[in-house]
Amino acid sequence: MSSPGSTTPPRTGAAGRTVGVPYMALFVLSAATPLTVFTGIIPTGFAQTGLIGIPAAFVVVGVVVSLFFAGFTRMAPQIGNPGSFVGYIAHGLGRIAGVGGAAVALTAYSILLWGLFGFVGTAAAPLGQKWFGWDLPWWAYALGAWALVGWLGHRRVRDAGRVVGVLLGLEVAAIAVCSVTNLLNPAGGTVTTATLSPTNLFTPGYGAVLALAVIGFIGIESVVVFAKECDRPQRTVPLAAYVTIGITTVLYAGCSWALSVAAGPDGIVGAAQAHGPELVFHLARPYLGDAAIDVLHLLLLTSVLAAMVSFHNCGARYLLSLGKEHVLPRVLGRTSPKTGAPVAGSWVQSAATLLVIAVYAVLGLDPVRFLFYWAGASGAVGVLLLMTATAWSIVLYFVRAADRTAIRWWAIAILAAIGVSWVLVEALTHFALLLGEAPGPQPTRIILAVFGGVAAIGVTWAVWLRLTRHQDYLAIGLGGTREIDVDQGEDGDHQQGEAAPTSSTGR
Amino acid sequence: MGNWISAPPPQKAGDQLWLCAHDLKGRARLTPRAVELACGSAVFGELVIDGYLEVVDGRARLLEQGWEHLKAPCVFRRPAVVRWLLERISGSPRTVLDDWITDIAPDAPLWIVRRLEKQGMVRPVQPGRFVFWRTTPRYAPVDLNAPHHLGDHLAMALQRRSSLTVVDVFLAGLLQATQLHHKAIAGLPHLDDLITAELHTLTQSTDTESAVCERSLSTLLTHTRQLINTAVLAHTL
Repeated sequence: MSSPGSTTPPRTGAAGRTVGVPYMALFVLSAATPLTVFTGIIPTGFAQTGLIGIPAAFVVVGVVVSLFFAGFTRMAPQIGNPGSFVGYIAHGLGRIAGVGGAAVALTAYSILLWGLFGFVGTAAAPLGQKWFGWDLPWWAYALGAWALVGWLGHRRVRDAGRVVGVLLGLEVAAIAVCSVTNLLNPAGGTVTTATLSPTNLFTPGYGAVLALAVIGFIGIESVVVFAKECDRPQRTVPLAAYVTIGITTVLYAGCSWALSVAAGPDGIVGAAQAHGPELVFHLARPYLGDAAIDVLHLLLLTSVLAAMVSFHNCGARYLLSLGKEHVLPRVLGRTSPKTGAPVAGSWVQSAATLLVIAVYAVLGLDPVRFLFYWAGASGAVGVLLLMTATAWSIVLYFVRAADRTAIRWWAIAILAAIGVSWVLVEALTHFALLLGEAPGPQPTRIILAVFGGVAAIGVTWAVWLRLTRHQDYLAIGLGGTREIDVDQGEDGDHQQGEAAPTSSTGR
Repeated sequence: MGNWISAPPPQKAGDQLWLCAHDLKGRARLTPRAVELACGSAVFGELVIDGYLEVVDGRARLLEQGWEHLKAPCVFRRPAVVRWLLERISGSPRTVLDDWITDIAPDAPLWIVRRLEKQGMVRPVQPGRFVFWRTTPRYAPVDLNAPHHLGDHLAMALQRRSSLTVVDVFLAGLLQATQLHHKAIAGLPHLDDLITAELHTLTQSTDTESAVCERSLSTLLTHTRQLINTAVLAHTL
């Protein structure tokens, strides 16, 4: 507190609670749960696509995502609810498209969450068998995880965040140890950078590995929610985003490259197909010993749980925002006063997840291939669709705010939009390869039909809102702060066209 | 049995909010950050209600009464919180409301609880010998009904749709912003709609003098809600 009698101006941001770049980077990275990507996504990606360019794909996607986040963080202060793609789409492409985007976002993040429940059995079974002698089906572990995640979803999120932060440090350390071990013990005695070479990336079907690499960067968009919680947000938020993207790129490109060095560029696909998610442990076991592998298994389990909590909270917060905007029933906009958790959204997420686990358990489908990997690939495409719509929304927003936007931001936004669109088109073209299926247009048609259908439902609902509940329609994309823009129209920074959320206020 | 001595109901918005946001043992019914933001907003609201301030274009501006308060000689060795805040606000006219609320939020609960202690409405409760993780005292209400005063009063007033003062509407808006309204104001169907309808009246006043105050409070509530929403999404609530 400043001294009495002074005319000290207020500290910007949340005084006494100002968050800095390390906190933001930790928060975002903890949602990424790197050990799950390292042991689950990367080996399965090698196995299913048969391509070895995954390390290079992380570098390429890292560059595209950096361009994307330049415009994203630039536009964030103008968005009522900056932590999701929906606010950007609503501001750029209009409210109707925003609700369509919200439907796609909810579906994509839910699918990503469900996929993790297919993997938790794989992560927990070796420990359950070794330590307790349990021989349980995958869905038993999934149900245990479901109960835990549902309980954590109602807890104070800050408490969960601290635990996840500590686990993140251990995960990164474990990945570093494994990668160094892999590099010190290369296949054939030679360390080769072949898998980092662009020539090994741009082979037929490379779109599939680009889409896989996108999974590693999901969640970074949440960095902009700290804009009101940090000092000098114009500088701190973009810096935190770039630091996170840099760490993510180096970590994933590095660990996947080290994996390919240990198995050999020619042998990595075969090894991944033979061992699946156990590949990382299989390669490390001779050098690190059984005890270390048990620790790695334990960390993988906590990593998967952390990822579940993260995606669960993400979906619950989308529901919270839509509830607060009155797009969905208002009860979804409620939070627990004691914990700040979005309780109603959390219940909905838990119920949907339980249904998915039950369906897969009853049908007896392979949880790793048909739930974890398929859901991961489908969710990645959904997020890519959202990123593409957001990227073009940013371009449109900069066009509308031409008098306040320097030419370099136009250039960056257009480059990012082209880059993200290119990744999306390539991913859709080779979606069959991404799923490990025979080449053909059928999987692409199905995934487009799913997300297109979901988006159509959202668009129809938005049109209905426009015709019947105009005040609620005007508040779309404002993140529950409707009065500022709709009723009073006091912040005059958002001059936009007719389609955008704040346009009709005449500010 | 000092605990049973009944104190008069508090009048200040901050006092009422603090008592409602804590239980009989002085434990917060909200997250610490929500308590801070709500108390910060309540303290700011008191300045608006007392006619020292108005909120225009998302910024606080001193009214004539505020300037007069500053011009009056300071009779205390330490200036009061009101004077200190007014001095700072007059010195930073470009500062937006959000920054003021977040700036005073960490200190606001302490200001309010000290005021309540002076009035004899709360008493400090030292942590137990084995509660080593908490070193500062809690403040528990002296009147056992104090945590329910505000909720009961608002429930009755909302039900009758009458006798709601500007302070009542402001406090109902703060309870709604912190999501405490469902717990504090029990037994009313369509509670959100009732409160939203009352909040809407804040922007409808035609009387020039009260319109300034009511619109300022409405804006203050909107920004408080936005700050709490942002904190929820940023996992910092």
